[in-house]
Amino acid sequence: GLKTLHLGSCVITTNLHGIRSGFSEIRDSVQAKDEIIDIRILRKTQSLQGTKPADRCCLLHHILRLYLDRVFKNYQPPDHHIFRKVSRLANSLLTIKKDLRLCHAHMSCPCGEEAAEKYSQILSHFEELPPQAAVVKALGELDILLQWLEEA
Amino acid sequence: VPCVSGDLSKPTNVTFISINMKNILQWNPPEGLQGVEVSYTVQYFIYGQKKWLNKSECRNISRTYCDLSAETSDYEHQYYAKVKAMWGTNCSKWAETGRFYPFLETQIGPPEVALTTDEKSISIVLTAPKKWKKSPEESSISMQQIYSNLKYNVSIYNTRSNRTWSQCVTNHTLVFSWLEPATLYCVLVESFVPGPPRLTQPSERQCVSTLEDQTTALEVK
Repeated sequence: GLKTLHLGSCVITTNLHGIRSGFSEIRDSVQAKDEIIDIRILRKTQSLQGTKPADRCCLLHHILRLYLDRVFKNYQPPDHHIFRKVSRLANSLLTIKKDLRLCHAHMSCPCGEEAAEKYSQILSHFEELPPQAAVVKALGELDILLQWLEEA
Repeated sequence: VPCVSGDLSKPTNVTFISINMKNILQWNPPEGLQGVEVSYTVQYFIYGQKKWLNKSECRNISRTYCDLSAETSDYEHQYYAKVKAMWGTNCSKWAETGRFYPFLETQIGPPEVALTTDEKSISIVLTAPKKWKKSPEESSISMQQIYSNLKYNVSIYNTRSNRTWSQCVTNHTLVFSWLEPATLYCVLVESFVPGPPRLTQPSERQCVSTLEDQTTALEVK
């Protein structure tokens, strides 16, 4: 079933179950490549559900742009199976990002201070790592991002 | 006495078995050492934090499991655990789990099932399973409170016609009507949360008979 995401005044629907099931198929092998276990990029203090509703759309829009422009684009899948699964995940997140852009066009995706502050913290956690390690870690943390969406 | 690391092969199949957030780490003895007096030590790690932590009750133990429910009770965090084997002055390297995410991985136990019957229907009342808790004094938390989208798969089997119906419900009461009088029916219920696949545990099969059809009973008199 489709899940409705209430991100302040921006309301979108997405096939979150399908995305989560897709990721669960590659989760163990992707996470196994992340050996830096004492750093977490998506932390509880920057969670979507812990952000005031009005800023959630903008925060999510920034996070999805990070994933699409710097994670999926630079990820080197070890085999064709994972490549296909990751491509499908990327397309699903791209669809969500396009919906958020529509909200932006309709002035229902404002970028407040909280969104900017939390995204800059996420970005600094990401950039603290060597590039390829950051890509692998961010991909491995998709279950956290998807959980944030589930609870948003 | 520090042991010589790496002379012993590692424990195998180190994994979390999690049901209703009761998270047990379990493993198999190192290959070739079944039945030998091996002891084990466990550590755990909270993903994103800085160091491995000891579990004092699981230091130098001979059993092959360790209850880490209390240590992994913040189910929004993710965890790792590792175990090493020791035998005399030799010890193995650590054997580690993958990343464990209780919120996504815990099995949802079966609900409690209460059945009442009359001539042609069976009423079923379900009570959501309870989350693991540290002590009996602690107040109970229903798994429903953690998973608001918790659902139940209810199956009812007619032992005379060998026919089975299944129904997926979210509420806790349902009635199966249009049943045959004086017939034994068996009910099985499974909890599940929509989303990534999880292991499930069906309830015990409960059987109950519908009552005699009173109209025919009167005519017979």
